[in-house]
Amino acid sequence: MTFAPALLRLDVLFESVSLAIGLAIASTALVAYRRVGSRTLLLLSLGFFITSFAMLFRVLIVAWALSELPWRGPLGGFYPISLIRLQEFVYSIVRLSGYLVFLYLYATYPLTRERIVTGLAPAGIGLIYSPLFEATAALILGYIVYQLSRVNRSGVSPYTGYVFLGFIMLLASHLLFLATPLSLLFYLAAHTLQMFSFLLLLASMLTVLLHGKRLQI
Amino acid sequence: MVKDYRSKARIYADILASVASQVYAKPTKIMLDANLSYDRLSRYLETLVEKGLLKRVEGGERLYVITEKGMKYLAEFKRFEEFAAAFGLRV
Repeated sequence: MTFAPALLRLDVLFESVSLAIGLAIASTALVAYRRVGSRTLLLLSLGFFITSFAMLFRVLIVAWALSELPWRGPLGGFYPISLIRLQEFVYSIVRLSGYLVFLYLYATYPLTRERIVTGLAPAGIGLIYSPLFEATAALILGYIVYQLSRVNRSGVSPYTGYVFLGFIMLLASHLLFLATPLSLLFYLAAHTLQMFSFLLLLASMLTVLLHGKRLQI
Repeated sequence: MVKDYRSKARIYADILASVASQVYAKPTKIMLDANLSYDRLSRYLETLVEKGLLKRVEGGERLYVITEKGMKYLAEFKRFEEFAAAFGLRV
């Protein structure tokens, strides 16, 4: 009985860290867009803002629901659970929208020149419930990981390694979310992986901005 | 085969890099470096002069020099190009 709320508190904490990292990456990409006017950077920023917004929404709703403990809604203890379920649904849609932005970005502006037209576009259609959201998210992330593996192998950028690993971890986190019905530990592990994946993306961004090549003319 | 799309930001950077590599840049040399037709280059040069990234040298021959603002843009572009590259993306 007390395990689930404790788990939720921990996942709100992890989600808050991921949210802060997501916002930092989104803001940096937005600043970059405003300075050089590249559409790639705008879309990258948009993708991270959308996923961060989904996290913010979830953190606020779940934190509020937890603050209302013991749960006594208009229908006894049912109300907050319904609210959290509704929140999960909205969260999944918003988050998936962010991943669709990433999908478009990696399909349109990959660093390696060859592009692959995939049949992933219809994947965003016909989503009804949460496991399907997770599966679709995993499918989209699988494509991004594939694109990044090609870039990573080509060695064009020395900093792709962290991002590649970050997206692999994000993909793994969605697979773990899928496995949540088997054990709540998968759920916690998924949130932990998600947080570390965002940390890797942040590390990559900071490494480039601090130690990247500078203009030499 | 997919056409390799070049963004406007990249074209600006290619032109600025070409001008920066010369003391006084001639359009014909910039055309070659930035891989642009004369008409397109003329439009871009006009825009870059309007934005204060390039300056046209006074006198008979059509020559350009890069401004401090142009150098700053080019430096920022190189920096964020690498940022996007780390994410496996091109700007």
